[in-house]
Amino acid sequence: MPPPPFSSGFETMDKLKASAPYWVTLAISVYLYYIATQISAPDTGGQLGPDFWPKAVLGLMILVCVYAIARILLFGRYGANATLDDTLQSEAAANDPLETEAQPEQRYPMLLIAGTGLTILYVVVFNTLGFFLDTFIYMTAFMLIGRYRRIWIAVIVSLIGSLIFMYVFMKIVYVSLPIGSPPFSEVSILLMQWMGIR
Amino acid sequence: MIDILHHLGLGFIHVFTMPHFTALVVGLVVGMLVAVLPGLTLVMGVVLALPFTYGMDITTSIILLTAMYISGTYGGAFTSILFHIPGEPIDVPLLWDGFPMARNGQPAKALGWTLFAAFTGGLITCIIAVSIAVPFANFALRFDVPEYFAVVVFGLTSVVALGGTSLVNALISLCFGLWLATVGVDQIYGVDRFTFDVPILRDGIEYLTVMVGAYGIGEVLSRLETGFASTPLQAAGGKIATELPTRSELWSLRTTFARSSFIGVLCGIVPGAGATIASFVSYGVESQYGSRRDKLGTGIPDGIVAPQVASTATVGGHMVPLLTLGIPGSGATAVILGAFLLHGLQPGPMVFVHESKMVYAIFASMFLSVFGMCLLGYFAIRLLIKVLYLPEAITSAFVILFCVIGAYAARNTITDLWLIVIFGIIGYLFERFRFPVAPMVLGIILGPIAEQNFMTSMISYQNHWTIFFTRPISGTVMALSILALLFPLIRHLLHRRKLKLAAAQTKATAQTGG
Repeated sequence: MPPPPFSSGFETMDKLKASAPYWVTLAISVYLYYIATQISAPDTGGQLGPDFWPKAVLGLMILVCVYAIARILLFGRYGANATLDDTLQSEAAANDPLETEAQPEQRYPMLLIAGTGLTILYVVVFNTLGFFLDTFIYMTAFMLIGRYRRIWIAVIVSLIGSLIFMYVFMKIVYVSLPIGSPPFSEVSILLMQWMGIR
Repeated sequence: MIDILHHLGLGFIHVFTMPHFTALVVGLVVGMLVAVLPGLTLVMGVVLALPFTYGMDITTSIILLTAMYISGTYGGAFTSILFHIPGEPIDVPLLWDGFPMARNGQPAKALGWTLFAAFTGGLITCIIAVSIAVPFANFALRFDVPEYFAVVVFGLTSVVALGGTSLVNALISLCFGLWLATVGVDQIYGVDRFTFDVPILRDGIEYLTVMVGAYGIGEVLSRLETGFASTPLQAAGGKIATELPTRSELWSLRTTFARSSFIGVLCGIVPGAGATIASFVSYGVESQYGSRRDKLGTGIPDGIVAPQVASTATVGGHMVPLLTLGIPGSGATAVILGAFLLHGLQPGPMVFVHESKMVYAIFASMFLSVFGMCLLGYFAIRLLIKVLYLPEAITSAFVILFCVIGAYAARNTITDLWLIVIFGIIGYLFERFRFPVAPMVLGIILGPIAEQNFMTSMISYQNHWTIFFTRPISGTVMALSILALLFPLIRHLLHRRKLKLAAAQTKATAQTGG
């Protein structure tokens, strides 16, 4: 028999936490559905308008989210179906003694935040620093955030990698990578002269 | 048949031209490296290679990606057998007999069995793909718009149902992808949809941006959160070499080869049931019906051959619906479809009429890829395996660099960089909360095709939505789609029944013992 809904404070929090991704998705889909209703449809002559398809897709998404939330709130996680991944994982664990001994993966949220922030910063200063300087600094910093501790190797690999990519894409594939704003553009221009890139 | 062989022969000649052959060799090497490298997946590798195909002609680019795909299904076997590290989920069953065999002092023999299994699976799948593609395409020529819509729906529902994660999460992922595909100017009425007054969004969101962001950056962020903690290398012992099985040994496993090939090709043709399912199902079938099922798990060749043959055999199966109907059945084939669309070609039955030279060149390249990957595996594995020692922080930094360049090169705009970072974060969140990425990618690729066929059907048949169910072919395909959606429920019921039976058995044993 499934547990009664909201039977204790702990369970309620647990259920709300489990349903949080679906609440967020539901809110986004409802907002997008509202936007879809604002699509200015021309005279369609009795045919379905340009808003029909997105509304149908978002309507389905809303229905699925409501179902997922209701399932969690009413039945907790007890109602969750065994997925194919679960079946494959349990099969793997049953067949492989080393797999059952494996420890659960440890998570480092600070690394994730640092890595994501660095990637966002990379895009923010992409046009200012130019491709070469921005990429070189980004790669070195990313390797260090990724717990690679041989600093000089990280610097050399990033330098070589940035130069090779700059040469291949600007000289061979003809992609117009940003050279940056002054004074950073001086570095890119100097390198382009050395590499024979016009 | 003679006609097919004639075209295939011309295809071989076509592949042996310089650009195509170079693409084939590069694809094989890169595919194998990607499968061996820690933190990189086969699909991610194919996605990262996609931007490099901008300047290539369509045949060269498809040959490159297909070669990567084929050799990627084989490369992970080395790390599974020698180091107990499955490069891909498809290689997990190889741990159960491949690694014990290597630990029992026969690593060369285990690699030999894998090589021959990949070779057989690859060859059989290519032969079947070439044989059934033309009848498949001829059948598809009878399709009208309702049938195309039904086929797209079947492709999407089966990917959702067989995707591995929960049906609810897969459906949300799919709807999100389908919605992303609607951003931009509507194809029929020319009206702006979800552009939020951002000019570049009027061109729509490039599926390449979504794929590169979600598969590339998303995966790297997920791995970064674990501190790039790779499994420590624990070599199974012995020097890395390959010892091929003898003829009598091979003959003794003929049933396993046949059975696993059948399972592999079948799982390949059904969209969604990819190499991972084929590999697990094949091992499972072997443990039920194999002649040495009682010894499975102790390091016998049957346990190596069954999953390896099946996983490689899916490739040809996947290529058939992709080329004849334009329906990709897996993440990797979705990327290959993306490459077709990037070059302005929509795969489908007409491709066999107008572009037969290209189609048979792709088939010929598949045959050559099977031979090439085996040669590479036999002669170069000792060298390739060294990439395992590359620190993941370095490879991941390069993955992001590939992603950035790939996204920027498409339109030379900083907005695309923002989009890949956004989709990278979305990809990470999907992974974190167990929403599969593949349905979203398929949704954004197949969404415009589905919408166009749906709207055209509605215009042609005066808004009678029942048309999809009343026409024989589309009705059958729609019924199959409903069945596919019911599949997780059936699987769940079967799983519960199995658990109940096991519990009852344990109870009975305990009572007898007591």
